[in-house]
Amino acid sequence: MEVLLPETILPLEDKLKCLTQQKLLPPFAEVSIHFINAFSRSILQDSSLFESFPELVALGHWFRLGHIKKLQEDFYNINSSNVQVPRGIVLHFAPGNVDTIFIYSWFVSLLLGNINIIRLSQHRNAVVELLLERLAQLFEEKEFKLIKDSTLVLSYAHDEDITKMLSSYCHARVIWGGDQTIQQIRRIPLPPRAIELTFADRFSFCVLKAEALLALTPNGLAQLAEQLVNDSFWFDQRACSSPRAIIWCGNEIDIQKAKDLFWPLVSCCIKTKFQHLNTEPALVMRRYTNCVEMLMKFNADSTEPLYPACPTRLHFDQFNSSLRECHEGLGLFIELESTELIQAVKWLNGKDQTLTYFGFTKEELHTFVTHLPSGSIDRIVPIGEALNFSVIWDGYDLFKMLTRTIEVKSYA
Amino acid sequence: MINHLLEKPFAFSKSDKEEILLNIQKELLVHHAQHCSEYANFIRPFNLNKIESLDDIPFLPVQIFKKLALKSITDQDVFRVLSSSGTTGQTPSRVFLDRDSAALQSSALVAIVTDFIGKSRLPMLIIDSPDVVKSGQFSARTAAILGFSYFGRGQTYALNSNMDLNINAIETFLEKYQGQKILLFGFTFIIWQYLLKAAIEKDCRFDMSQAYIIHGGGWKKLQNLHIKKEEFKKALQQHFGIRHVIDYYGMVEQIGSVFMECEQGYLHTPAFADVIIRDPQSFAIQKNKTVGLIQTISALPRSYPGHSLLTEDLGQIMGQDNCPCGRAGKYFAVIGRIKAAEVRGCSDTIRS
Repeated sequence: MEVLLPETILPLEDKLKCLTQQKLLPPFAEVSIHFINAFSRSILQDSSLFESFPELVALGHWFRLGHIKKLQEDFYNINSSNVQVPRGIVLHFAPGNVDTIFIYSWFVSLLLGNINIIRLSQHRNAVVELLLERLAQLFEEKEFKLIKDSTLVLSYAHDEDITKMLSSYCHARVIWGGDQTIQQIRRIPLPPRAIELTFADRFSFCVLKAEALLALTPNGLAQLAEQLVNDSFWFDQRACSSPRAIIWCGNEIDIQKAKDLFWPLVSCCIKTKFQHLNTEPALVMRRYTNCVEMLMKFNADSTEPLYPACPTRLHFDQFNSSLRECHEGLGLFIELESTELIQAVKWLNGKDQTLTYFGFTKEELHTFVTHLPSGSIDRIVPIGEALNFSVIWDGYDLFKMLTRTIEVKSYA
Repeated sequence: MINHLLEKPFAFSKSDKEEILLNIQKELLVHHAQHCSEYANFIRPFNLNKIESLDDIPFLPVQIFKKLALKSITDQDVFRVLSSSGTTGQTPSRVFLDRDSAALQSSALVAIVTDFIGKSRLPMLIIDSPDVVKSGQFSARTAAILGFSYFGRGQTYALNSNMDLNINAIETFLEKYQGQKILLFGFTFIIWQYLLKAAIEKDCRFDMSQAYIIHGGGWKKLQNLHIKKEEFKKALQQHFGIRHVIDYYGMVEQIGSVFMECEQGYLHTPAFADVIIRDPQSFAIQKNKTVGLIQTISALPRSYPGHSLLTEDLGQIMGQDNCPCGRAGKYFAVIGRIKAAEVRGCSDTIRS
């Protein structure tokens, strides 16, 4: 077990006791906003990060002062005499591999005034190391002492005893990870009034209306292709919100025309922005192997022999639920067709998180939502916005979940 | 048909070999499509009537055997299951053999190896621990040692259970067969680390000047230590007097594909197997001397669809039918495994 931040000489139990005695800040306290803003600026002002750590830049951008002010406005925009206070100590479990997504929930929790304990895996990548470095620098400033004293970042190999101890101190437990991880951590008890948020394995779709696509100008079409590419490949199509299946809506002829126009533009865009998906032999082989695996297990309706270039597309007449577990990302799209959007609901289930769309009206989407199978789809956003984080995530309103509401009623 | 090829594995030039191998491959395609439903799904988009040369034979990616248990025989007919040594966290490959396939695999190995070291059974020193053949799982190392053991007699293990040099066993062996041709066999890294380096450390000078040493398992570990092939061979000669060092390239996923190094330093394809090089981005066929992904074709895999595989190894074809060593067939060099991918995204915290 290693304490990564802040530097401390105290043994863990003592450090935890200190945390419990720490006074909670109100939501959106000045010092919290200053801290997050300082972090954001340190990222956005460092142009060297733009190429190698675009996800950190996206994070820095999301937490820029203007956006924090907007979040603050949204938070306090409730016409009520009730008071929101922080939950207390929030224990976060970051996902095993890469992904910076857990930082969003951590920083939102921080802004809300909570004390945060973050458990990182022992295999950390360059992004996380850089993050820790920047935070350590900020912790050296006197003005951020309160934040420093309210934060604990540690790392340990899977150890139930440590998790048990940490959990006994928390008021909320946030778990980012695969289904297996969540099951294992869930088994470890929480104090009676503590709550738990789980962010499990999710799958995402993109729906395109062929007719609308055909009405686009060449520029519009190129832009649409770029939007799909941006949604899909920032994390090699491994992010939960990135679409792995495309549903085409319309009649057969329109759909075929649309595909013929659209996919070459997508290939082109990938060559410009994410060419490593084509040039790294190991990625090509993994994608190709995944494609062959799907073809063999689920009998895709492939009219042409498989090819290695990205994006690889596999056409299915029906969407087999198990395809979700089989899909490894890395530049492979499952393609489905439906005459009407409403018919696609039969393919969705509780694992599905994001639906990006193009060519549908508000009314069509609302009708669609009312027919969704129970538990499925947490967000429906325009194509291009798949990876935009929101305070409402996986069905949780983080503002509400990471604070406590104290009901204050005056005399009638 | 295959038996014909097995009799003289290095006597078939391109014109003799290609048609035979192509016909066998076409027949195997149909056979596996009929008996393995997953393979039938894979082959469906291909127009089998358009196959005109070995270049047109569809290929499976070698890792598919980690994802699916592919067999063209019933469960009852499974005689042996070979498995690769999977890297940490990964399931190993599984290859299903029936009795006939297992026998054919042995015959193929005999046909190839005897062409390189002669037909008589040589006294054999195995550079490994006896535990490697005791473990429950039939790993690539187990398969290799048991397979090559056929060529030897008086099999002796050079290492102890804990991989230490069994100096006593080695010295007894060398004394017993002094002056005679002997065979040493083991995995490249193990020979380097646990025989060579260990012997140097302990200042043991073994006289192995009459030995043929056959080694396989790849050069990755030695590459990581920045040790080149020439250095490996030179060290064996300097410390043990060994002049015949024979590398071989093979994989658990394709039985019959054992490519041995000739006197000129090239790996040779036997008559019943072949090698094609493909561009890692487009999978297009590459010319001679161009580096690309190695695809291996074998006439042997009948019990499972392993007859045409695209590996994750890079290599280059050096020539065909004209190797100075005198053997017919394509000859090639292996550069090494492609670089592992760093894959992103959420995954189980538990695994770390």
